[in-house]
Amino acid sequence: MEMLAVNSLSKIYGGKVTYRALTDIDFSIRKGEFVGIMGPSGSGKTTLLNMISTIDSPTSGAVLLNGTNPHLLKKDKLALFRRRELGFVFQDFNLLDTLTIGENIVLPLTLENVKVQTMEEKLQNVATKLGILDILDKRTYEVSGGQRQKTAIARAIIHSPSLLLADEPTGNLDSKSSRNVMETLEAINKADNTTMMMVTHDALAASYCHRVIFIKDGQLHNEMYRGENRQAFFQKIIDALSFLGGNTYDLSTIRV
Amino acid sequence: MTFRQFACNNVLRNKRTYAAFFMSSVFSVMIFFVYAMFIFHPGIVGEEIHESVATGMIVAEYVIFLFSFFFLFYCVGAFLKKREKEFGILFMHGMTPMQRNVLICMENMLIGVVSIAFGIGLGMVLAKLFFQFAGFLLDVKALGFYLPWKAIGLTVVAFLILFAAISLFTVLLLRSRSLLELLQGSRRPKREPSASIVLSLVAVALLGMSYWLALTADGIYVVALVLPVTALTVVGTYLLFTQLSVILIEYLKKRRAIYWRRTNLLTLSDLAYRMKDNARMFFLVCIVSTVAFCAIGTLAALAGSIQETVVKTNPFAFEYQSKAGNPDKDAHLQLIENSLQQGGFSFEKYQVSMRVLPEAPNMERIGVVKLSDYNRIAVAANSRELKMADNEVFLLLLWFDDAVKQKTLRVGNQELIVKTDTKMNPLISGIDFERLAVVPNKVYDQLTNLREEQRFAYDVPRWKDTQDISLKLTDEIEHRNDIHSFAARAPLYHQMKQMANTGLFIGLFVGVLFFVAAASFLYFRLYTDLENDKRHYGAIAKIGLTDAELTRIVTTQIALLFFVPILVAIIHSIVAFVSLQSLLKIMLIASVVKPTAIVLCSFVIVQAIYFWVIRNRYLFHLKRSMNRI
Repeated sequence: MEMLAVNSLSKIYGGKVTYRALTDIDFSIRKGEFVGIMGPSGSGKTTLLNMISTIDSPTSGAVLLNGTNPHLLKKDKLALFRRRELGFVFQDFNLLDTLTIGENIVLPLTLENVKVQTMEEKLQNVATKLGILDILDKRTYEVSGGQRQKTAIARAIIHSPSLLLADEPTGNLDSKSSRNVMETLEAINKADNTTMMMVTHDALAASYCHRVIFIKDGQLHNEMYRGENRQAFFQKIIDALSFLGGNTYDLSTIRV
Repeated sequence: MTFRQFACNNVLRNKRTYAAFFMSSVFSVMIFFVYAMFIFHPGIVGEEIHESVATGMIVAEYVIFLFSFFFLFYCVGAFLKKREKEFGILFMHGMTPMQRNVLICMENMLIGVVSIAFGIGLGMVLAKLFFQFAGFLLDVKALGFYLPWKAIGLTVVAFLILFAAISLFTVLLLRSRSLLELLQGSRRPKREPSASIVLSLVAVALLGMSYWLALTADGIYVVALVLPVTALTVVGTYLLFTQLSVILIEYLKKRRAIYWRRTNLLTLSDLAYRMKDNARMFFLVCIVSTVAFCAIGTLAALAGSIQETVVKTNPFAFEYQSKAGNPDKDAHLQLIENSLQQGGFSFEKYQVSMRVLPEAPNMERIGVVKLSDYNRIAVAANSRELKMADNEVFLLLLWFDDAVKQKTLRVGNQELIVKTDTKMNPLISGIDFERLAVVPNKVYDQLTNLREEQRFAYDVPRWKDTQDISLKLTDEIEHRNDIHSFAARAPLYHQMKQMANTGLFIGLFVGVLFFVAAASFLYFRLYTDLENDKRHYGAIAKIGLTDAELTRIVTTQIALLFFVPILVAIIHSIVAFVSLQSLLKIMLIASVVKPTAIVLCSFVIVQAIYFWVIRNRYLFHLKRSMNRI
């Protein structure tokens, strides 16, 4: 079953010099699929993610999530759509510093005005799954980067969204934390059958996906399916990246 | 976590951000409440002084309320701007615009309710002290403490409305921005402000013009010029900070010899980059401080020069003037002298005789006094002794700024040349004449067959304590304008002092409120910058920045932030005082220099202490974030 369909999506940035960021992108993601989007810097990965996550709106084309085009929704409906259908994980975590880890996680439910007891149950549930049960009362600046990203993941899945979107989730993490976060995402994908789409630079992170879509200069370049062996997939991704003309710089997992 | 808890957490866990905002809210509420306590005090009914103070305070209440509204409104707007990214994240998680509005209102009302509670609590604690202070300043018995239900009611209702209105306006005026912009928040690089040379010149021209107008305006014209000059200054100041300052920094940046010298590169580029944010704040702080300085300075000048003024208008503690043939004269003089002796006051008595010249048609009536008599009085009154030739006459002024037009005066059968001095105070007034002329002894002795008047003046060194005697004497010596007149200095002094202190009392707290508000603008600005600065200096430190250099850069920046607007405000105020001086001269107030200098100096000292504390805290936070401590 198709969860996400992207139909001939284009984005042109206006201004003094118009810039074509995306041209006629077409692809779809099945329910329960874990898809990675890769490409060299400036290829339009983040723009694509922003279109799907409704942060930005496309110049032409449509995004259909479960058959709904969020860009056609009114403001309030759009807010409800984000609240119920989407989950986000950002590169820089985007946790609220005024809240504890636990409070950050239940934020989508708070906005939905869910009963406190239900929130409590779901929080225990998701925190157990991610192994962050013991830091729920800590503040964001008291925990490590990896724990923060897990918190963000917990926040993104606590309301069981139709689609989990991740923008460079390992971009600010060291390799050990990266591996840990990716294993967590993989586990959630397996256990809950959550549909995921992830934009990344990191070949290692991408190797956890079922499928990787490559973009170059705003256009779909090719896609690759993972076989049984993640190690082989990783090697294939690296080969594809160097073929795409990305520098070796793009392969590094840690950027400070 | 419910939505309500969420709103509370946002405020309660952000204490440091809201500290200054909260403090100035509390301060506004407190001043408002304390004034209300005074206005509604049961003890002031029927007491003239207290009632007039209360009337003044009602006006002050409106000022406080309006000012608080604009100040808090500005602050709330600035806070929201800082929280753009937070709202972006919340929108990503499905917050509806309505929920955002509710969130903003809840947060504002929370701060509002807490500051009302604190403000009233603090007001209650300080009420006794406040009443004591009022009693001391107004020279009356202090009001007692009471349970001010009415005042509490008024304050609570007024400020609840105020905070609700602020929430409402904030929400209504909130610009809707795209999610992308919100998420990038304050990290999005800003463009440096651009400035036009024309507008910078306009700034110089406007300020120059308003200064010129203010400084050259004389006497009563000052009043007519107040509004236009204020308008010119406000616009000029705005352009000064938004345009001229940018041009100046740009100019400095073009001079590589200066710009690329050591840490100037960092200081100047930071300054230019932040000028856009800072310009409006500089402007607000400057204007608000100017208002505070001018208000308190003027009131202090009024209050401080009362004694001088009274001594000038009434050169003697007691004066008794009598026409020839007044049957009560001796009894009255006896009464005055006995009263003084019984009260244990030492005194010195002076006596002059005057003669009234025959009335000429269409002329003011003129009395003459002998030069030697006049000089004796003049010495006693610390005025100037006169010298004149035998064919001269000295005409004294009726009041300040009065002019003497005639060139000659006929006294007896001689035509005398008129001399005068516009800087001299009239020392003696007459019953049967308006203007006094001092004539040479010879001329005076030749005058005969004229009505005579006598003046008795008592110089009492401890005149300030003669209030009771003065009132008793004024009662007993019936003031009869056709035969004799009696004047005492002490009651006049007390009355004027009370009046001036009333003004000072009312204005002082409003002025201090303005100053506190200006200070919290600064705190807020710095607090907003701190997070960016941590990143900024953290990055620079990696290149290699010594502690001393960091301290120097930060100190320069904070010093500019603290003292540039204050400095401009002081210059504005000094110009205002100078032009005010010519107005006050008419009101017989001679010196505004000393009291206003004291006021300005104390503000600068307070500001310097504030600067020192804040700078140290700021450096501490910066260094701690860079692990330098």
